[in-house]
Amino acid sequence: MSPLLDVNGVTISYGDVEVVHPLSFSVDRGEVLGIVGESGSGKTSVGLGMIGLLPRNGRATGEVMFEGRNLLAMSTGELRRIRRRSISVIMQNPAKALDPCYTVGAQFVEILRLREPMSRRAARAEAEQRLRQVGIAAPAHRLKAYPHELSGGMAQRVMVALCLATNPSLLVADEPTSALDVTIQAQILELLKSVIADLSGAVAIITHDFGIVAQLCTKVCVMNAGRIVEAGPVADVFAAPQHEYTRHLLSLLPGHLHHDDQTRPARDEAESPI
Amino acid sequence: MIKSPTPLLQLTNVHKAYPVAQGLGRRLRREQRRVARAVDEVSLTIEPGQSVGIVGESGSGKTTVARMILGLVEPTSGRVVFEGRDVTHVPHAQRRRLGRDIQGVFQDPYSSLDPRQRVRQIIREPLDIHRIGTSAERDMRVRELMDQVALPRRYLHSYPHELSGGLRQRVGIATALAVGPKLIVADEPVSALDVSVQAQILTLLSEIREQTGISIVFISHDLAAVADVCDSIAVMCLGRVVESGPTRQVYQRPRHPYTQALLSAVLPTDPATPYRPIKLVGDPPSPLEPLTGCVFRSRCGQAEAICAELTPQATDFGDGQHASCHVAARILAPR
Amino acid sequence: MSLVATGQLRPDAGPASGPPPARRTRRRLNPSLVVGGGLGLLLLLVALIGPLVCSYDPNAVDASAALHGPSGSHLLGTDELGRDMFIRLADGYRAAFEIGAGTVAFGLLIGVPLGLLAASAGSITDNIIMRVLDVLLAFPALILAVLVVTIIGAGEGALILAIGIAYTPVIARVMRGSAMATRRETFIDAARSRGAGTLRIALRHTLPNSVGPLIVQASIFVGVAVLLGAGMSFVGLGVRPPTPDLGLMLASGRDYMTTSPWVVIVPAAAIMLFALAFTLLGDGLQTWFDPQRAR
Repeated sequence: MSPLLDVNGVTISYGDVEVVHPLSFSVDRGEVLGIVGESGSGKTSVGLGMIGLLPRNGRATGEVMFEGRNLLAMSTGELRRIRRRSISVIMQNPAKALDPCYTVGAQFVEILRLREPMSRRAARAEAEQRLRQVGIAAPAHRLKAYPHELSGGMAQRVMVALCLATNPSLLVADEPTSALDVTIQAQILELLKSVIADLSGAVAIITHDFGIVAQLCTKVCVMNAGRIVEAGPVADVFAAPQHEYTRHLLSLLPGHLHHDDQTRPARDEAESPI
Repeated sequence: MIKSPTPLLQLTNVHKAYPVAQGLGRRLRREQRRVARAVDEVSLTIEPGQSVGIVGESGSGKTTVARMILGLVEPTSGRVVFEGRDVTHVPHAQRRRLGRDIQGVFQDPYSSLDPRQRVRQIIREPLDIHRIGTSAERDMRVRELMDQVALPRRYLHSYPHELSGGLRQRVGIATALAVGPKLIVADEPVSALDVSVQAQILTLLSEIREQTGISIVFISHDLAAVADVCDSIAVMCLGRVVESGPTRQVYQRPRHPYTQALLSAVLPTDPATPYRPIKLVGDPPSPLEPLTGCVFRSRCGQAEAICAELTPQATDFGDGQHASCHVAARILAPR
Repeated sequence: MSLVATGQLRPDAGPASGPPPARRTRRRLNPSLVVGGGLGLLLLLVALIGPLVCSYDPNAVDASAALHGPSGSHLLGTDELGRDMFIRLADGYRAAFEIGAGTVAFGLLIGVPLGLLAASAGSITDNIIMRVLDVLLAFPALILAVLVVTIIGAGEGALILAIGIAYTPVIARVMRGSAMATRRETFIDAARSRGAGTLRIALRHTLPNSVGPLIVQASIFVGVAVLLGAGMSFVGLGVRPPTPDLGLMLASGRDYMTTSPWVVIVPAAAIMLFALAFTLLGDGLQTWFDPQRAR
């Protein structure tokens, strides 16, 4: 069976500068791909470029086969239709991804009605239901709020609900928790974990944080300077990184701040690396 | 820890409240002016040569504390004492002298350097302000500083926008070191940098500390970054210090539920390790409507009735670790 | 393993060290900038070189040559008093540049320090300054200028003063806005924390970084000032004859519009080109500054 998303020899340039050199990877149904790298590595360009969301001066060449069709060869209209139904993107800054002029409810209803014709009342009911699913208490109240009135965590929950509303086959998350506080990040990651578990399609997560990759992803592509330097199943890459860059990045990570709370016995001094 | 007779810096019960602009309706009704309590009863002591980390999330007040130490903000009440001198309300003229002893390194390397000045001018400026040495001596000092922070000399005449984030932060550190301060306040110095560069800058700060014995106040939301540079740590939540103590100790046996939650939220990097962050309920409350009692109680899984009535005071858990929590304090209560 | 790397990598090796530093991008000249700048230069050239290539005296009255159309001997024809239009045009441009430069210099000299002071000195000073300027801004520029001229009397100097007073509040306001935005930047805080005084911060840090919008404004201002000046001269409140002025030429030529249109077309087109040049230049400068600001 062919993979859900097949990226082949894709390059991305801004103006006359090539920031992503020809690269290829694929994601199957049920897989969660982590595209990880530091800033300037090209990960965001790849992640957004493969679904046609580059800024005006960006150009992507190559093949991105999604459900059998090349996304990069489509017209804007076709791409838009696909984005309405099959592909959803969770942005980094949730409050900014929503239009500040309209209430959350209005935007939700609009998206639902673009997916399929339905009455406003039915759409609102579904919106409430979806908000509840992502852990928002008092959803009816939230729907009446404007995007800037929501806290970071709340806004990201709304984004996730919105993205799931179209039952996408491909979910792309661009640094979904970078803008959030640590404790809120933990909540959102839990949410994403459960959401991904229920999803039947494929997921691509763009991030600079290996910790997120370790928790959420099944495979990983490590990018540096516009190239994939290492790729493979997460467990393998973490256990035995082949490329020097991957090894270097992994070596910088803490991951050993884990402590035990009051109820569990304190760790031995010998175990603690700090 | 041997306490020297005079701590370098001492904050005692410092408050900072910002009045909130009120609409006409409220003013007409003569409602009490609402205040946002950015910093609430914070006390902190820094010994010479010590490095203290202040961690917290957004809204914790850690940045306000940093700005108070740097003299950019005056506390609403409380005292700030530097080397035994009360510097809480310092008239502007004397601020300059303090500026020699306390210097800052700021978060955003992209906006903390004057884009119109070259590196040489930026690093030189503190020397010019405080009129140290002759012009030639100042230039030599600039070169020395660049060497000290491993900033290649060829960048002497570059503009900030020509440098990467890591290099810019080195410029910031060099500038802070220029006049030989006794205390450096680093406000999220590596948060805007890539992971590999963060490590380099943190190493640099540690080295400088070892070489010069400068005290460092390190503000961050990143627990891991703080771990390597700071001997002791203070955890802030909604304007209050909820836990403090030697870093290693606090990380291994956190007493306050908030510290526990923060530590548990750090992602493990081994895919095999389960991620079990302590669940916090809901969102942080608004600083405009502060809660009675413990600031953390609305999100705390261990909150009890007393937490709503009484603000917890700091309990000594031994070896310099303090935490302000009723539930945690009960462990120490004699049976 | 310790978080801190053991210095294996060169500092900031390659792109993995943070967002790529802004390359010294060659600032691309945009059409507005080129056209506006080019046109402005051309007009300046006309003003400076005109008298050198054309030997007519702009004030020489020669009734026999009155109202001749454009020809070999008179490139742009003659006006009702037989004066050569081209040389009057050149002279008029010279005056226009003088007025433009004079009013801008006045506006900047007074407006920039006022704006900087308002932004730097604290809210009471800010309020006082801005409220006074608000009063001036409440008057349409023309009315204000007319008021000044009525008090002082007409003439080129008075015109410069009048228009300058009318537009100084605008410059001050732009300066203030730009300075306030700059002051919120971290490097200002950093300087303050290092002990820099208000004056040093204002002059060495705030001012140089707030200059962009000001340059744009000043450029547009030149065009607008000349427009206003021409208008005032047209109604007789600006420069008085025989001082050359495009507005005056327009006024006196009005009566001959139907019979000898060039007498009106030349000054009208001249004014328009001048205003166009500087407005385009201002627009182009704004676009030119913008990409640099966006880091």
